[in-house]
Amino acid sequence: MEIRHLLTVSVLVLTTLAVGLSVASTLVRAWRASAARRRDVQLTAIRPQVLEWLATVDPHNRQVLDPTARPGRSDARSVEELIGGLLPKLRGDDRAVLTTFLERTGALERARLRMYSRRRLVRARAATLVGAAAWRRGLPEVVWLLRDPDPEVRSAAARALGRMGAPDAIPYLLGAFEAPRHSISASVVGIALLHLGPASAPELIRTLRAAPAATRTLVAETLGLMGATQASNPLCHQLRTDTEAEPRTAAAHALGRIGGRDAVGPLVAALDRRQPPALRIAAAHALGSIGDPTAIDDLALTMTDPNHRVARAAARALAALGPGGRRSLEHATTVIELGRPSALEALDLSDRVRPMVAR
Amino acid sequence: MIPLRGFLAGFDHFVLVYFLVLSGLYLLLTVLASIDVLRAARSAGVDGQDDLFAHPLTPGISVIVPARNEALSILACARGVLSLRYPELELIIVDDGSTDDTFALVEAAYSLVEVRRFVAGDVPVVGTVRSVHVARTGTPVLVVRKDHGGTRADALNAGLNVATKTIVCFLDADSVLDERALLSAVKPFVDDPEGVVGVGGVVRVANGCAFEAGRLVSPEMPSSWIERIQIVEYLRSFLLGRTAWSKLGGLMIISGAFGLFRLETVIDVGGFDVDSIAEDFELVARLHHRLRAGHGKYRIVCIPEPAAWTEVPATLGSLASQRKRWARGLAETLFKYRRMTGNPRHGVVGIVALPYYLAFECLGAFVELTGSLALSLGLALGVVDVQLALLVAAVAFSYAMLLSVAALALEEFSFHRYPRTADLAKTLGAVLLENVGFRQLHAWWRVQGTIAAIRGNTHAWESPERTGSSADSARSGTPVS
Repeated sequence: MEIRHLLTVSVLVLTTLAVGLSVASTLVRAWRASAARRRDVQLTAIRPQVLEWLATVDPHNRQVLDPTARPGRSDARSVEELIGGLLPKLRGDDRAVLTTFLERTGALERARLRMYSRRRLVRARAATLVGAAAWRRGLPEVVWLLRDPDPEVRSAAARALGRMGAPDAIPYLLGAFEAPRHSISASVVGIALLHLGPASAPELIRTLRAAPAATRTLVAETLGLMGATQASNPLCHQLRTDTEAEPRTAAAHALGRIGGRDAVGPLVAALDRRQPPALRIAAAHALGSIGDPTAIDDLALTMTDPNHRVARAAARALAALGPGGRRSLEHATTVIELGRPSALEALDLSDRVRPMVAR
Repeated sequence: MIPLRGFLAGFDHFVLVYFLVLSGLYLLLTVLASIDVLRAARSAGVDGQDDLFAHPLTPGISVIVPARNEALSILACARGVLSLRYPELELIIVDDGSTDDTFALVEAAYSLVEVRRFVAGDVPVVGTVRSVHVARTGTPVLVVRKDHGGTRADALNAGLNVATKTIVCFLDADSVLDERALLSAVKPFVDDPEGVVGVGGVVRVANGCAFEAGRLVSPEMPSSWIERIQIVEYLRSFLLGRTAWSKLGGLMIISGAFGLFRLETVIDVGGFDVDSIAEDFELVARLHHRLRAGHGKYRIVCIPEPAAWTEVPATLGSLASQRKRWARGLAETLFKYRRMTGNPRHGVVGIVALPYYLAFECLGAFVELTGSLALSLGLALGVVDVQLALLVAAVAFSYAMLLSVAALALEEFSFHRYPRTADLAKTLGAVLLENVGFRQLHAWWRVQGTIAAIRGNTHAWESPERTGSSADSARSGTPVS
């Protein structure tokens, strides 16, 4: 009797839960559709006013107008939401005007306080808004969030620091990257450093000397992407002397992007077969990017590398070195021992295909 | 009569315990998945995808599409891949001895030109590679033409041998990706470059949806109940199952329809097993086996959204064939890695995931069918109490319904990809139908597939019957709404 009773109750409970979830799904759907409609109506009414105001306001005297005559609470929220969405797309005066507007409405101060919220998404969104507005008064809170227990919040804080364009944030960003617990990924920190721009290059060059290997790698890549010509010598030094393979590979990539001819010697030395394959590939690519014909003989020799990926990189680099490189490739096609497969491939790509879509 | 009565009573108890353990496990998986899926859904907007798109160091992806007689869908697939929001990708189509217009269509669309490409032998390929073609226009498309090697794995390996990017993405020719699919899927690799070796994406049903230029423009319900039932199955399997296994660290399957791996790692473990018909499951099992043995820290994860939309069988015949193949592949792979099952040295994979797959995914169909037979026999012989039997069946039925409804509710509370209210009603209808007839039929197919694995029948890869669901709606005649 007991088991029958138990089974009957189970059926009732399970069926009630299934029906309840179905009803809840339907209600959520109806509520969501209604909320979306309301929001659309509000934004449709406000968007033209905000855009018109943005187009006509004089940024030099910082006259900030209220785009809504008598905004209700929900209208004000919609305006802030709209402007928050516009901010990441703007720079300079336009951004400054919107920042001033958000400052006056108290939206930025509220965002600063929300960075102390218990809800992770509230903290992340607040940091994103403060970063997009480049609002310096929120800097301490954003820096504080670099140690947040939630990875999404830490990443949002790092991105916000980058957007704020604060070179004084470099030690905090690199510190957060190196943190043993609650660290931030290299990609996020790298993007933030790139956003800081060339002004941050001297500080980054200084960190090349003493930082851990992962940081040296990240900083070298970032300097290359910035095209920081003043970093050429320190990067050559890193390529020659660093004890770890990854920072050396990153230095080779960076030197290729910077494009200075003084890097050719260290890059040619990095083609040596005793070096790790990833470094040899990076060096070959870099030599192709720099375009100095003095590297032709060494690249031709590298086409015979036992690692086919290295040989391919060398052949592609030769194809980028003009008539001298091409002669070298043509010569290689005649003798199998000279890296014929890679040479044929590079010549075919060079002759038959228009420049490949590249970043 | 008495031994039979005793046997049936004992078997009933076994089935009851089996059902309770399975239900408990499903409940755990549902709770874990719900936490993760809702968290992922709410994080949209603060996940930094725009930065990832703009960053020059975002790793490049080689998208490998094996194609055997895929003339109906290959162009839509190619257009879809090339229009994805991703900074650096190359599309590698492996024409695996197609006898239709697959190659001719791609050749004409992208002005292909043959090049003397050095094809490395990093991973084994059975079918001889005949030629390599690239787009004269510079579009990053590369086509490898090879002899048919018998399995999909062989075509995938040919693609691996020419891939040049850090990450490889395997995609079915009848699949279309969401615009942000690669950006989302690459995020785990970027966030944990040392640890993550594989990322599986969610696969959804393309049948009935409207596509244009290789893009999904309107997710809609298909017209047949077989396809709708598969929508429920896919939601349950991907949103609940794989997300939860990923959270537990025991993800065993990254669907061949949409999965990403580190090229270097896949090559290190020898690529796909060219003899396997469940190459996706086999590869993940091998990665767990090798990487665990290497004592390295690694992760294989699943992201709940965005998705790949793939064509599913629209007829009972093709569905039966697909499910038998899956069951057979599962059984073969479980047998191959039998030493990992129950082995604590393999962590969650060894002590939870593989025993689960063996006991419930592989042998579950046998238990289900024999349980039904035993119940019928018991009822016929008067051994089993009718009322009790009906109550047990009602509990099993309502629990199965609840799980499916939970998957639908999770989809509704998180990503709600099907916008029409009628779609919700149709999926709820499919939940009911799935448990009456289809479920039992499915169990029978699984039993057949497992028996085929035990008998060692040969099996060749043939492209499944296509209807062109993921091809452009204008071409397939489906109205674009």
